[in-house]
Amino acid sequence: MIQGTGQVAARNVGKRFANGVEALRGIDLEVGAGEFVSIVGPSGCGKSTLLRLIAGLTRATSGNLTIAGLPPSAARRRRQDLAYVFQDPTLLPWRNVSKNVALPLELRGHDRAETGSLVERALEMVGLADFAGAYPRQLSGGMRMRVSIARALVTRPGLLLLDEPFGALDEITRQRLNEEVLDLWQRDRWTGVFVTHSVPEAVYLSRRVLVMSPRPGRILSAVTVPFDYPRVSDLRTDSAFNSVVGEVSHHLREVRPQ
Amino acid sequence: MTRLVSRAARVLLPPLLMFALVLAMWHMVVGLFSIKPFLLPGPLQVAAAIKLHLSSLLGAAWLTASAALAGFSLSLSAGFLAALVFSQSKIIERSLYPYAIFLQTVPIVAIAPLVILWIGHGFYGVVAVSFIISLFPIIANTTTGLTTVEPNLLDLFAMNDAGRWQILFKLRVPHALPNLLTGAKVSSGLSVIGAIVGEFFAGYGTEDFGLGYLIILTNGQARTDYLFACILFCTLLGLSIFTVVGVLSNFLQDRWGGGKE
Repeated sequence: MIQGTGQVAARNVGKRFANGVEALRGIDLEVGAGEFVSIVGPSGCGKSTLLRLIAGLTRATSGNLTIAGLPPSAARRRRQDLAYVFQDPTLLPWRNVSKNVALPLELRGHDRAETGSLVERALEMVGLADFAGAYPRQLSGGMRMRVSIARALVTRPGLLLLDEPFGALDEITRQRLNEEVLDLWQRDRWTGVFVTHSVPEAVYLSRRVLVMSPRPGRILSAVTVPFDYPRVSDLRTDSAFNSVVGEVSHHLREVRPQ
Repeated sequence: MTRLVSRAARVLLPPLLMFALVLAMWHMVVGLFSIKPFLLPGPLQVAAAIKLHLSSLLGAAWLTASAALAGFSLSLSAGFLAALVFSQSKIIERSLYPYAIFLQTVPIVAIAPLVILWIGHGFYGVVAVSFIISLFPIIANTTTGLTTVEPNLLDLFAMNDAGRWQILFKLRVPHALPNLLTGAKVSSGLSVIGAIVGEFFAGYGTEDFGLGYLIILTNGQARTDYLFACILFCTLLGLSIFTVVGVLSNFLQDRWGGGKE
């Protein structure tokens, strides 16, 4: 990982789809290297679109977006250190766990000898070392998501984009995975941009929570979360935690169209 | 092992009992109404015909099976290649797919004589008819499998800057395998029908003949007991090819997702 490669800078970024729908307007965003930022907003506000723009999966129609000074697709190609965790685990059902995790290395023509140890390390990080030979359909929803995270981390990315990864999981699994994500983040200090519907999840994970407006999506407010890392699960029942959750929820209510 | 036996018994026993019941009723009806044998021979007469003509029937079934398997293998490879091409170019797919549907909708009996005329009598003509009728299910199913990959999976490959061939062979083709196998099951049954229809119009020469030729011959000579034997062999042939392909395809499909849950 190259130091400082995680910085995301968006200046007045807008996105209009070919069908004329304006998804994003005037997005200004600054994410420092090693920072963990969450984006919350009503359904359809363009949170995922913003994440896809940062990933270089789609192009902004106006404004300027850079990752460590480079356009996203160039940053991705040159440094190979952007990774994306999708809403679904998006595992290949015909590949076992370790072959799924190895996929990004395989597609990039990575050295085979090194691939094995990188995959092993990634599986150990998410606690699935014993399931290397299992197939996706033999795993629970939470385990599939862990495999998906391991696959994203196997290339040791400097910037990890997470698009509502835990939305389909039950609350208990979700909270445990939140804690695991924080552990992983503290270990390697990648830059994290996390999109979610859940305000407590956003507050628990992030240094800053950005609140977006309905379409066309704009960033209306940013709430700084004052708690130091490492955070422990007890924080969720802390009254200070709940007042930050309340503050973010308040901003969210303000942006709801009536 | 005992569980396997009891499962087999549960699956096989009802249809076998049904078969015995139908045979018994058939035998009674033929005797009771003294139906003329050239209209409807009894089961015992059919059994006698099978015994008498067994070597001819087996030889014919062997030839028909060879033609059907050749037609099926051609369909499998040509259909797969066509689907690969379709998946790579929307324009090619749009311009050729209607003609692939034509293969499905045209009555094979109507074009079989033409095909025989162009390819010539003999084995290759019969294989060609079998190929034409069994091609479409492979093309249709495989194309569907290749082109219905989840957008998220395509994004995943894009995130890793995968090339066109990587997307094709590491994503689309394995994704389409279950569809290809479904197509293969349908196609294998059709290939037998195609071979038999082909043999209605083309022989293999003076010495050799297939089940299709035997059907025409025995029908023309009103040897209905022999005709029934031919029909039975056709059915058994279709059933065995379908079963072999089905078992093979289920096996591959299980392996594809890492076995049963």
